[in-house]
Amino acid sequence: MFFQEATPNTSVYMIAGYAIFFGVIIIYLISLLLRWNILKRDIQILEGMEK
Amino acid sequence: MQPQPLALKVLNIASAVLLAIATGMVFFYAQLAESGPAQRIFYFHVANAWVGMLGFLAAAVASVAYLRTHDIKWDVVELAAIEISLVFFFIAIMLGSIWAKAEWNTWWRWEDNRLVTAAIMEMIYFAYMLLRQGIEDSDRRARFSAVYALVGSLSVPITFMSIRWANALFHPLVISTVSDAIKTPFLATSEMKLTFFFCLFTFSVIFINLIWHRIRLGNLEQKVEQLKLKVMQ
Repeated sequence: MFFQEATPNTSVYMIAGYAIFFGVIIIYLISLLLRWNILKRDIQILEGMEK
Repeated sequence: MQPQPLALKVLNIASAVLLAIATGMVFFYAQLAESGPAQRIFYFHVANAWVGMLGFLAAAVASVAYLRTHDIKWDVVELAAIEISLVFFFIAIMLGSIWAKAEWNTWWRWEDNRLVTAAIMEMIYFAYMLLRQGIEDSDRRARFSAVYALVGSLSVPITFMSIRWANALFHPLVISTVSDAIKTPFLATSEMKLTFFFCLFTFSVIFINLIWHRIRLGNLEQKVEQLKLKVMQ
């Protein structure tokens, strides 16, 4: 009984792990959206130049 | 450019809903393991590594298709698969490192074959992205990239098997028939098993969703490249 170990409290690591997951995914989604908008703007400019 | 097809819109919603359910299952459905709350990282860690490796293999298939057909659409698929897998595998390495700190009291173990081979694999594909940046001509770029992706894909089975071949001392084997592998309490209950496989399924759906978006972006990049050539002429 005296030597029984309690479950270690590693909540900080768990929170850090999930924060990193959601953080990286959100950054990647934003990068996709930004690149998409930049490319669409480039197409508009290039099509204008072509005419 | 075409607006998003209905199937992609449905997939967007399905991915978000599945991710929410998977997160809920990890925190509220699966029991807390004896090793503490950090064990909950494991569900997303394995799922990220799974789709990362899946994507690298998908890229190898696309590279073979490109080398056979010289159709640029396969180059777009290959790049999409590698870019997304790089992101997922980076997350897997980060989550693994955080779990290691909680469990082993160290961020990294150089004597762990899986950690080392995983890091090398990530660097191989990071170098792929750099290689692409350095080649101007689109045909040459696609050809070199396809060969590189194909050779690089050898790192996937090596990484997967590294702890099986070398009889892992530290890295937990989640699914194994090896009797002397480290026994982990990760899948001790049916709720834990269900959560684990649900996470694998969820991340597979998210991967398909993201690769679809990335292919559409790649097609747009191709269009810009063609328009630039036209304007310059």
